[in-house]
Amino acid sequence: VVPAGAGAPRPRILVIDDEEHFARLLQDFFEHCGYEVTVSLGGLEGFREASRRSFDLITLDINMPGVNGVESLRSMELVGQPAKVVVISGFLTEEISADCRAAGAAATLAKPVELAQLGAVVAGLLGAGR
Amino acid sequence: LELLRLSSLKPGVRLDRPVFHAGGEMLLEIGSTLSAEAIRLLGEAGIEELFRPEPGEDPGEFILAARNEVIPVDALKVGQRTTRPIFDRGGALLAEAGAVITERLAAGLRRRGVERIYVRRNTAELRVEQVRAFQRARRRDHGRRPAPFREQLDAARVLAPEDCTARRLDELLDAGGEVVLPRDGEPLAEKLKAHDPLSPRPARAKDGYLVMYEEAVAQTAAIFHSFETNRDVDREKVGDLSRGVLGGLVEDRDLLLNLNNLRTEYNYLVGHTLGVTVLAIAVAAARGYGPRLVLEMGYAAFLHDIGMLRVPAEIVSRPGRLPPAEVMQVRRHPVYGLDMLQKLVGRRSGIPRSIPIVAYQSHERENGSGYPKGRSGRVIHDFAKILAICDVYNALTARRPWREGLLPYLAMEQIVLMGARREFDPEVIRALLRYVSLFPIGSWVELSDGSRARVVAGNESNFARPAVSVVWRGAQRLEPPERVDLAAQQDLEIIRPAPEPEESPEPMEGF
Repeated sequence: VVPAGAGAPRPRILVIDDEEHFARLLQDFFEHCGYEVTVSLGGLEGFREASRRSFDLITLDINMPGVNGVESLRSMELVGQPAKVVVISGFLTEEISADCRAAGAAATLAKPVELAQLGAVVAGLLGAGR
Repeated sequence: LELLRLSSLKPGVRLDRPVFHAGGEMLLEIGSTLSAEAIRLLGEAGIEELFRPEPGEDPGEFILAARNEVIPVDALKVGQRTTRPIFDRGGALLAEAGAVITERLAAGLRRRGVERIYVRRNTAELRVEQVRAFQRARRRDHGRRPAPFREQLDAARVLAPEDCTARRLDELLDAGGEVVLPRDGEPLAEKLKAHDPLSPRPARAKDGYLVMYEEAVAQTAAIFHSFETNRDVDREKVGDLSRGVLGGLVEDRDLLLNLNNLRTEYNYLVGHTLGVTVLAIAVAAARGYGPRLVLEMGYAAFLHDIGMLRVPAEIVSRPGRLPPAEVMQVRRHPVYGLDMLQKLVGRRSGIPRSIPIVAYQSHERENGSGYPKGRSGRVIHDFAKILAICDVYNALTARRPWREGLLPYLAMEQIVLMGARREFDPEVIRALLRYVSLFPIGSWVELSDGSRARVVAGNESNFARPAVSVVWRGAQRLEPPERVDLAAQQDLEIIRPAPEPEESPEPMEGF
């Protein structure tokens, strides 16, 4: 994992997950990697955050009460939210993966996720966007 | 017109005609029962004289005459300077206040067959404060008002055997038919005039739209009224109204869309119909349709809920969740609408043939969860899809006697979520967002620097970064408001939607 270079604006990441413990874990990890991190604890809150502020990348849980991850992702797509989205879910069926990709997800990862792998995927996606 | 004195009114009488204030505002709706409470509130508001049309008389004429000084064109003198703006019947601005009547203007009016012009009375002359006081008091004690204009409809009429009844249409669709809509001509969207969101507009432009709205309210009420009494629709009036809205869109899209935030106190159906028409015409333009089809959309929007007139009033106005039997009754209104509109189309070729079908399908949903047939995307007319969305948006933002309306942003968010759940066509929602924006035109927002601003122009490439007018910075009111294009100010963001300020702003404040 390569930290962002000094002086350059730090990439901004939004973590959307209703399990606060897991969300904070991701926050710590991404901050350690040198990113600026915001956490939303639900699909609706995540959609609101993503549509109002600009992020470079979003990680998104699928199984959430209320507005779930697929609905949140489709809502983001509808309003033209430009950040890359990495879906991280414990229940990734073929169908859900296909729905997510159709709605613009750049990658899907199964929980439990290996942080090293997540870090590589995120760094790759952020690098590709530059 | 019949003059009624307040002292002569008796409670318990069922009104077979609407009752108006001298200034042309409707006070009591047709079909309502005069309550002792209403008589008391009228007295408290200082309203001693009331008016109602003679049987069969068009209330629209009275409203126009009450609100405006009517001047024969022949009485205009070339060289004379107007003290107030003058309008034609449809509310189109003919000359601004202070303009000099030129030979050209006078000749133009004669050529167009305009016989009378209208000079708007001011609010003091109209004694508007009396009406507002009455309406405020009435809202406080709303109770269950029956919806208007539905008493005289004959519920026992049968379906008309036109060439495309509901059954025939359904047969066609069941046999694999599809609803396809041709694109016509050059998209209207390309003809809309661009307004620089950072430059203020002259007051007369904004006033013109407000006048247009009020006249449209009066005309809409008159159309429904005549439908109720004659079971007929004055297609020219509907056409004029749709053309007026379309013209307003071309001239200044954002001013037109802001009219959707004005909610007339007139009655629910009139306000709702007008709001949906404004929105639907804008969305049809944003969808890329040409002028002919956008106008057709206007017709359809105008008439789409006419079937509601046949649902018993006590069901329509009942707050809260309805028992299943009554839900079934409400859900029959698109079928009633189809029937009523087909009769009109059959008689009057001026009403586009698609209108009954569009009304019939306007409560269907993309994923098949709507009614009356549970049709899904491919077999739903595009205008019905547009209407479905505009209808829900307007219903959510409307204030009803039993609840406040949602903030425009929250209604838009609902629409987006319904799109994510595939109840609505995402492409149609995008068309709505392109013009109205995620934070709808005319709604209030809080910015990341703590200021409060009003959304004044959409941003087609980023729906969440519209142009705004900052009205409040902390406790300081900015005069004039400071215009900011959020598309060009990346360090400033909308934090959350805000309620309309308590200070009750001017309807066009910030524009």
